[in-house]
Amino acid sequence: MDSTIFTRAFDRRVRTLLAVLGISVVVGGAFGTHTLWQANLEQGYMPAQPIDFSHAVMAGKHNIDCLYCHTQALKGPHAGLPTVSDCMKCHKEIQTKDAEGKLKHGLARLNEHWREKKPIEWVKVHDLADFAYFDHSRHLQPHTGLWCQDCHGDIEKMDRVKRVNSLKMGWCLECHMQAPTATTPAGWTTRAPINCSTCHR
Amino acid sequence: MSSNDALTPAGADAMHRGLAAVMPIGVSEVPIHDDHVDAPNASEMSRRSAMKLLSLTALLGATAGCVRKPERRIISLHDRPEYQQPGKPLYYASTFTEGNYPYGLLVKQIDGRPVKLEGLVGHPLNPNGKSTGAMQASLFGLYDPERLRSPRSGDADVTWAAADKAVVAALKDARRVLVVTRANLGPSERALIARFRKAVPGAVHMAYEPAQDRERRLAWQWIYGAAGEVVPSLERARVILSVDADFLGSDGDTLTATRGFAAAREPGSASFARLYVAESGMTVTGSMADHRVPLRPSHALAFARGLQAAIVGNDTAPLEQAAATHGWDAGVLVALVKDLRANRGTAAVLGGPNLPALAHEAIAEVNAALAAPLTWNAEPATSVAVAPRELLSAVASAPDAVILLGVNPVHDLPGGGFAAALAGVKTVVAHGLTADETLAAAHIALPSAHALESWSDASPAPGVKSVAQPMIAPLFGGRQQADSLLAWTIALSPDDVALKDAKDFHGWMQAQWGLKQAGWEAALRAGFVGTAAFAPLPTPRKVTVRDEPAPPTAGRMDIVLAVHPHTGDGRWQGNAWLLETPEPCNKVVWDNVAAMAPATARALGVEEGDPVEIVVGEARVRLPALPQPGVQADTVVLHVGYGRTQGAGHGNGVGVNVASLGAGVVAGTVAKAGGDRALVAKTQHVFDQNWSNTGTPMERHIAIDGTPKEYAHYQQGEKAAKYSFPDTKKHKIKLTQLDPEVDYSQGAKWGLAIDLNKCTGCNACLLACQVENNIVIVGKEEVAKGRDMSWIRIDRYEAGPEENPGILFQPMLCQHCDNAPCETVCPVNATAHSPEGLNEQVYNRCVGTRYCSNNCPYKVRRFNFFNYTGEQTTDPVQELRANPHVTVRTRGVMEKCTFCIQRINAAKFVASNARTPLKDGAIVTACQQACPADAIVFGDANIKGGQVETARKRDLAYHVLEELNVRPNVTYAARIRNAHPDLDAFVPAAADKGGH
Repeated sequence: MDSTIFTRAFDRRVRTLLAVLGISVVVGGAFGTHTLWQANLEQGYMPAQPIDFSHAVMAGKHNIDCLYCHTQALKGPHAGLPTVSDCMKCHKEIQTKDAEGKLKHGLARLNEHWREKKPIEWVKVHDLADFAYFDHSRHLQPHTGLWCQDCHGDIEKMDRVKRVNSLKMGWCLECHMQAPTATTPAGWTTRAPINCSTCHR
Repeated sequence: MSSNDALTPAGADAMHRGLAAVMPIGVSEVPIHDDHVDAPNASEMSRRSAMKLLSLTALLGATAGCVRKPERRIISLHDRPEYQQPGKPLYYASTFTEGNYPYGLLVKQIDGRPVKLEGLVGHPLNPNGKSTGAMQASLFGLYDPERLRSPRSGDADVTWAAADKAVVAALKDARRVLVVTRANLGPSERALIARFRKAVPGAVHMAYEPAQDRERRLAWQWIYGAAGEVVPSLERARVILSVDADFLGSDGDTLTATRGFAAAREPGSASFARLYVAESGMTVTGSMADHRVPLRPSHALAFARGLQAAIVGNDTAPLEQAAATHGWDAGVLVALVKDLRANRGTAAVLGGPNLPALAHEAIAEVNAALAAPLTWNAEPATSVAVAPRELLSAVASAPDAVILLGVNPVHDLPGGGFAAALAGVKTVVAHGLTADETLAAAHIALPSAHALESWSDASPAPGVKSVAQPMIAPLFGGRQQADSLLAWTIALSPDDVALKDAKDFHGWMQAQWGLKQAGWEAALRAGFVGTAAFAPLPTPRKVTVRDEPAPPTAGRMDIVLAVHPHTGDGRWQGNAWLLETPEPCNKVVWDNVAAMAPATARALGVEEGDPVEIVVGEARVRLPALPQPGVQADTVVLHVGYGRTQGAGHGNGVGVNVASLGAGVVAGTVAKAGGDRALVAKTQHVFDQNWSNTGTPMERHIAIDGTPKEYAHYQQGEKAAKYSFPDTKKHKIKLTQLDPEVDYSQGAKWGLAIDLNKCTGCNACLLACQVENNIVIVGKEEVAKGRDMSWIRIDRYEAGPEENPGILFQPMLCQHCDNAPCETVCPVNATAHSPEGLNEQVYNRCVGTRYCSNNCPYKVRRFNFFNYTGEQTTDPVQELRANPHVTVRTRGVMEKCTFCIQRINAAKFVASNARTPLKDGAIVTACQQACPADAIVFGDANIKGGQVETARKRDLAYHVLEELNVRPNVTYAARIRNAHPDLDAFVPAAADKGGH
């Protein structure tokens, strides 16, 4: 390239500027990434849901057991969601109206789903990475002493579900590394496993 | 400077100032120069650094953009599907209706989608629940993006109602209608076709198969006086002779044959069977042979006649004479005759599909004289197909309508000419999964439902009925062929009450079965009813007329049009999994080649990939040559079904269509053709590794074999160097151990054992692993670069003369070394050892340095050089195919066998949640589950008397490259070649010289 296009002084200024800009981007980027890494964007996640369903009312006020709706928690990897017809088992009868005599918004939506046989698409709050495999049934075995709230927070006080824990690997390991030994059915003692294939496969 | 400072403008300024001061050093590549000095590199350098900075900026920007995960939805269904638990598999019994043998099928379904197919334990045809590779891979077809999505009339998409109307209108005033189906129809479908023929009086039904063993079936009918099929009971056999029958690979009921064969291959036991194979090509059956004789197909009759004279007539002269003429190894034949005579009642001769009828007759008499352990299936699942010429003339006679159901004769009719014949037909209706050549030639093209979306039944043997049930609603709006036929029949005969009541094929089938609801449900749950009743083999009829076939013309070669062990007769040509599975004997993928003896190739002046032209009568095809040790010198083996042009997706343009040459064995000429050398992609290039009995300078015990005599010496403690049997106590080289010793005696210690005496190299394990573990396909060019992704490879070792080498198959997979070389070199700890002895690979941690693969002595690690998953993660339909219990890998990630960790964890969780100990055998890996020969066992090696511990304690047990002290957890059992005592060792025979 012919260097006479720009004056020498201008060329030098441009180069200096570029270099300064570049380095500041690198350093700033590194700090930024580090900050974002530390910050927990997933924690505190509280998206709006298609239906204003309140755990505070259901699990808190009415004291309905978690397993009444999340029936699979003890049986398999996913706790499971109640189907629309599960909701309607009660809500066919319970159609609470507000002060103005209007059906509550959430209930109106539920009725709509029921009439139109339309599934409800909730926004996932506790969403693990696809390469991590979590099994609810393993964690709710009697020997673990865990409750739903240990991971999901005081869900019975939440109107809208919020993610209170990071669900990051470090957070998992905090428990797994502290958990006391247990005796397996085969008779040998074990701890909560911390090897990779416990969760990654 | 704290991180807070960096974020404030003031802090940022200070930082910039500080950096500006050191800039000339930091960016020293930018020289400060004066006007008079010409510096052509200066701007070049600055541009490069600018590019670097720009790309880094872009990278950081992209990183920042990815921090928040996209919103994902979780669905509350309207109603809970029956039995379904989220994320947990459900298993349904069904029947494999795509092949020629309706094996029992167990479909694993997760969240409503079928993700894995396995054999059904207890099914009369495959009672041990094993499966073929094609069964495993047939899941591909269900999610195949290539599938036709709407009925078509001409070039326009039409509705099903419009299509039905057009078909019914065409059939209404038709006087001659031809219905062409495959030969593997179930009883309910046959009954439906009978009703259809009642509704359309001029209808003729023909069962068409492009490559059926039709001639053999007709020969048996002629010899035994009734239609049926010979079923070998090899578990009762002590001497087996195959005359060009690939009974372990591609010929007949391979699962039953392999099960029987494996049961008879226990070294050291009294019933250790000996296998003799006389064959033209190189097949897995020939690879398992203890003694193998290359046999030109044209000489098979002389071979069979000589055998008949020796066994029935007690006169070995004709056989000796033929051996001298054709150059067969006389020593092997003498031993064979001796063996057959000495094992009356436990010796069987199996004849291949391409033998002339007279050869089958001779074999039948030999078997009768030997009281061979063979039985008779009087009602085989498939009917005898129509002769290709008969079908062609029926179509050429211009019927009013031709209905083609699930067949593709435009592509694969032996002899060709189908498309031209169709031109004179007024209405052509074709039903198929994809828009293949036949659907393209049809006036009305209809999308079929996949076998996993369809109801069907089958009758594999007298006394058994097997049922296939749909696993998912049709994904692409297809309809099963039987439902179409039923709809048309109802429209054409509105008075047929039985049909009307049936409504659809499901109803029709249920009515045909005639079971009450409870019985029907029980049948669905079991997958079948009844037990197989095989009859004793009928006495062969004495046939007086002996019609001598014309001897082969000089200068001609035998062209064998063989069924591919994986893609079959071409019906799985669109299945990318099967296309990428190496042919077991020559390891070629994504191609059909002209396999010929190395000597023949040299005579023709061709090397691997050079095009050769094969001329049979008027027909000529050109395809790449492949010199392959073991192929008979005057024989060229081609696989049929290749060369698809439409509707095969990945299979379009793969290989060459050889249908025009005919079927079976034809006489033709082979010559070098001009043109460029083609790429022949193979997964293995070197076959003669250090495994021979004489040992090598390295004395590397990789694949070990020996004769019974050597084994006896070994058992008596003579561990002389010349025997290649393992001496597990001795490590040749003591390597330093970097990691501290780990105690694995507590808890489980996973191990796998493979018995080389049983492994036939059939690749069923490989395909099961592929489906189970979401292993991607990479295509021909990538395989040629050695980037195939299969976690299991079946290494093939050849020794002895190239005319007739001895073969040994050895499945090679991650050995899960306790002193793993891969683990010590990973810079990011992405591969680590579990307390249960597993070598774990963590995909999300892997950065793709490939150090681990370089340091692996077994070369079993696979690297994703590109994002091979491609559409599997973006296409909403293909996405469904992946096993949700295994991570889908992306570019830049290393992967390898995990010992099916998802299956280990699942079994552990079940046992632990139930507070019961994990039983031996509770965990079955995908490869072990599929293996038709039961050559693989997996389990906890700490269980005393468990499967793995027992396998490890065998005196034949050894570890590959044990001297490296890597401590592998895969145990192999050395193979004993059951050589005849007179022949002492495996003596490779001279080739069939030909002789005209």
